[in-house]
Amino acid sequence: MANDYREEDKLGKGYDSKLMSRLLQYLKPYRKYVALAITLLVISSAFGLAGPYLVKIAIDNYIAASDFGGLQQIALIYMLFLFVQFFTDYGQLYIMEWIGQHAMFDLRRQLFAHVQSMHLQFFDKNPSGRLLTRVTTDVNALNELFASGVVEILGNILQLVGVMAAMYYISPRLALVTFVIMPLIVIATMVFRKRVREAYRQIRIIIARLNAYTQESLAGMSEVHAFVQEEKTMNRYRSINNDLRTENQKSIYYYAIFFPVVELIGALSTALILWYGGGSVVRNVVTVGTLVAFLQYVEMFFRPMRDLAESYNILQSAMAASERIFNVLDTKPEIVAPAQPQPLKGFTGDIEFEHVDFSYDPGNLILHDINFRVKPGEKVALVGATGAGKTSTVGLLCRFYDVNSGRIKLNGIDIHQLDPNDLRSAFGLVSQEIFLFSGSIKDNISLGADDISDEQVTKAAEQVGLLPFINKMERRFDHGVGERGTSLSVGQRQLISFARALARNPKVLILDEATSSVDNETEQIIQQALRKMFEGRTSVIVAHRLSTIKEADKILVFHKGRIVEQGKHEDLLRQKGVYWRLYQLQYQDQEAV
Amino acid sequence: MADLNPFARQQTILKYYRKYRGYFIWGFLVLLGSSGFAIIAPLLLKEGIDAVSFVVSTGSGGFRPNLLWYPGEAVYEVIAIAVKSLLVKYALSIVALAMVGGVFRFYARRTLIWASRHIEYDLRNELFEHLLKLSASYYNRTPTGDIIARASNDIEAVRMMVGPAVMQLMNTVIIGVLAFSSMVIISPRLTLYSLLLLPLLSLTMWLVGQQIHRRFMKIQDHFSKLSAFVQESLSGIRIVKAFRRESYREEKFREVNKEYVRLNMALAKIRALFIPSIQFLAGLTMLTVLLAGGYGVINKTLTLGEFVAFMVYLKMLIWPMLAVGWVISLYQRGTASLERIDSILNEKPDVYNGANLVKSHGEGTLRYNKLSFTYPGTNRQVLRDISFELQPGEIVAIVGPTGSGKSTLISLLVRKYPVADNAIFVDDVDINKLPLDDLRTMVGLVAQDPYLFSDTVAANIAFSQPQVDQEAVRDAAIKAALDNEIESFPQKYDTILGERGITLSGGQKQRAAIARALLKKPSILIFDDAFSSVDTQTEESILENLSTADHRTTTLLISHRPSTIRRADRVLVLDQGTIVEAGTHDELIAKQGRYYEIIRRELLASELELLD
Repeated sequence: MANDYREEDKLGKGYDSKLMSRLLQYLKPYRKYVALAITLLVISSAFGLAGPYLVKIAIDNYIAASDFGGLQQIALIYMLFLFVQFFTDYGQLYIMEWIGQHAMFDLRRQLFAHVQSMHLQFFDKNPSGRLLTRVTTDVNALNELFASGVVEILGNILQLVGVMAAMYYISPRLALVTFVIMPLIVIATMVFRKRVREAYRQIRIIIARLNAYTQESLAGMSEVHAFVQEEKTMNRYRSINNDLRTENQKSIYYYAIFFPVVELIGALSTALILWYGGGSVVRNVVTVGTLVAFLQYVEMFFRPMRDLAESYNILQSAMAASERIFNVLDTKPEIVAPAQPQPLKGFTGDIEFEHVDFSYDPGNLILHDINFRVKPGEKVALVGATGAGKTSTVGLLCRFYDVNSGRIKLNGIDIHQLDPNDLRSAFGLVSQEIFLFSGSIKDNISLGADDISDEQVTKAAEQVGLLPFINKMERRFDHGVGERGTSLSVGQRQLISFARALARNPKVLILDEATSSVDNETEQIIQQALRKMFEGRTSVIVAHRLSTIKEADKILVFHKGRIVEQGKHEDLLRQKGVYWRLYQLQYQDQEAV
Repeated sequence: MADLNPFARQQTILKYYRKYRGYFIWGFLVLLGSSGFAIIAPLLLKEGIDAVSFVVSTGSGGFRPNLLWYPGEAVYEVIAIAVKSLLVKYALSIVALAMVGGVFRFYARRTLIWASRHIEYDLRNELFEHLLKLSASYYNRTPTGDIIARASNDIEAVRMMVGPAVMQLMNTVIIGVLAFSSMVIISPRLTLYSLLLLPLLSLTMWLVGQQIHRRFMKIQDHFSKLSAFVQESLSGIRIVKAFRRESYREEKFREVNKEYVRLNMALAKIRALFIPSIQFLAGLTMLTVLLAGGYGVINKTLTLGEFVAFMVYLKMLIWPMLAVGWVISLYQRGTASLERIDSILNEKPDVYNGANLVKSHGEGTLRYNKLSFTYPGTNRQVLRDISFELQPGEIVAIVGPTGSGKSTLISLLVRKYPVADNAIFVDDVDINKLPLDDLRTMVGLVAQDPYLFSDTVAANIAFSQPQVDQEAVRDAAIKAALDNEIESFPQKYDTILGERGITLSGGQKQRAAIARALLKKPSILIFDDAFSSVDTQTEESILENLSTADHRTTTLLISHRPSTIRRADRVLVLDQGTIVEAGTHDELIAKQGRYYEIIRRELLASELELLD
């Protein structure tokens, strides 16, 4: 989140036609509806423009002629127009909202799918809070643009043109005189827009600074306290806050001038019409009704003008949000299926690492020259201190990340030539950190896969020893669990993640053992479950349990990113090397249990 | 609708309303002035139109009004000239009024919106000042993002309430009263007709407003669900990928997404009704006036000018009425936000200066006396009955497994969390009796994962004394064995750290934090595993630098390294919150107990570390 505010610093540039045209692409599928909304808008505007004209007719033809019947007729027509306007307005607003919502729906879907398709490194670099904001808040910021922005601007322009046309139609002379004022309002608006844009740019920058400073102060609060810097921190905050106030006052100034100026120009037009129009009436060139209609038209002219001046700011926030969204969409996933993937037929667990080097950040190798082979049916344990590279090795095998150099082969095929989906189907992964989705236990085992039947779910639960727990629950498999799975114990959550892997009957089990300790009874259940899972299955295990390690066909000892020893437990102990020390440090205590 | 007093939910900012009441009163008066001028313009219009229609009614040229008496062309000309000069006068008056009114309007907006900016400024400061007072127990349970949201979005919502909403409300009241009075003066009867639909208008606004509110709440609720779903997908991305559930999750997201659209459309159905229906009712009112007014003109009970002026006033009245809905929504949003801000402001700091403060004489003795500690809001005791003592200049190491309470034990020394009375003494004074600032100035704590600010290296080191000279900063950096590396940075001591500058390695960070702590020359130094990323040799030289001076600083350090631990005068072994062993290194080794075991393991681990 912190970065968001700093990113804002860059976002001072405002309207960007490239961004805009890209945004408008999202309206394309709904162009028929957009056309419909515009049509309704045109109708509504036309009928709205008719109002003053009807008043003119009423005055000139009926009131002046004392024709009350005619007045009633006009009133009836007016009512009809009001109805038409009501329905067209409603329709237009509703359709536009519909379009906006659907455009956002599409965008959210696209974003979600895109984010999901990204390689894992992307998630390491982008905190989830930031990505969340992209999919939710940022998309919502486009609502105003999609739902009203485009059509409203168009509507305002339409109304301006319409008013001018109506004026000209009723009295070209009077209209031309009134138009003399128009350039004034255009100039005033342009000047105002320019100033306000600059002021807003400054304001956004200062707000970003203020937020960044708040963020940093909160993050470093212990330091602030420990070094008794409350006062200094407060002073600095106050000074940025003061900058913000000063800058805001500037923008108030522009607004405070702009609105009265618009009103003054309005008054000027009214005065002009009264003077020149009134004079024309006296000279019998125009009628009183025309005069009254003009007075009303002038008012209709100024509202859209004011709205147009404001509409820029509506676009502004949409621009900033869309830039951030497109940044995400433009980041390409790095791990994708090759054009012509090789099929992974008859794979039962022949895995080979050949001279694999790997790093998360350039220049900081995590794995050096990793070589090993897993034969079908073998059970291989990866051991080593924290940070030795075990989990990274497993991550490479699942192709969450790509190797820097070297090759990983399944059945002799380089995994780059495989579809990552085929590859991952062959594996059953149990990661160290157990993650449960909110939903039922069943959902968490099947993960919504159609090809996993209820029987398979039950069977997997039974195999890992989860069934007794489930039977104790009132709603059994439908028992709900949250993201953190709070209603379940650590052991139960582990068993669910086991069942999840087992339900798929994977060719190869990849297990990153959790380090969290559980009570003795649960430990027994887990060990039994593990034994069940290993049965007749190739397994690659990042092992923390001595029992698991002892039963392994092969132990790979990781040390500082290299495999330094390999063999069986007894042999490795005899070598009195890394494993022997690791054993004393980490595993010896488990011997007693 | 329980609270009819609009200020009841604004307790926090009442003081600001009071502080800036001058602005609000002045703003109201100027606004009144500006509206006062605006309200005259239609009257001039009325006069003008009446004058013009009088001319018309006298007739001229081809236009023959149905009058019984026709005065003739000459008289007509005279009247026409008189009317034309009248028109010029009216026109000029309209412009003049707009100018004066505009000046007033300028001041009104500036005054009222300024007031809101001042309140925003004060409220921000109040909130931030309060945040600075809250202790770790608050920050541990509150996500930073949440605080930031309150400090930015919620404050903005409050400002919209005290600024634009207040101004619009004043405007509505003033224009409402003035326009209504003018209408009554022109024609009470017509006023009555035009108000016929008013109840209907209010009813519509109220009903629609209620529905909007209800549907809006549902949308907010579902938005949280949508966010939670995305959040969960992001946290569980490994599982999604490993089990190839991307398309399934997409499908599920589609459902959540679709429901969100559905709810939004349910709102749109109603909201799209709002403006058109009000416009419709306003139009109907206009229509009534057109009919009744037109009839009045025909009957000669109303002049044409009055009729037109009446319509202008009616229009003046409609827009402020519409704005009421907007004001209400700003008020609701503002008070809701204020509640969220209040929840921070109502948070009581649990570490603060007590009564009867005592000054310390600063020798650097330290005594823990039967300290027990439970984290606020939990009931698991993490420290039990801890007693030990440090003489000035003594170095004591604390060792123990992860989670044994070492960090908690030393963090309590700077009162990171509330500490019981008479549990910790510095220079024989209960730390609760020392001024908090004095205590924290005396104690220099270096954390394992210190936080450095995105500022220059020098500013980070001189964090406690920004005014200190360059030499002192360098001196601290030299002692922390960081000077050489800083000299190799692009801008040396002026190099910016953090995202906008260079990123320090873990070891450099730790040493910068050590330099920062040394610069303030504390009488007690605490290292919370602060050398974990520094290599052994550098660590030794830093420790050497600390004690070669003519006086030794009392030092308490947590460490895993046998070489460091061995430098300490004494060692405390902590396990599950209690001191299980205490003594010198040699004594404890000889004892072959817990300490012996820990050291053996650490030696093994460091051996392992050294292996290639």
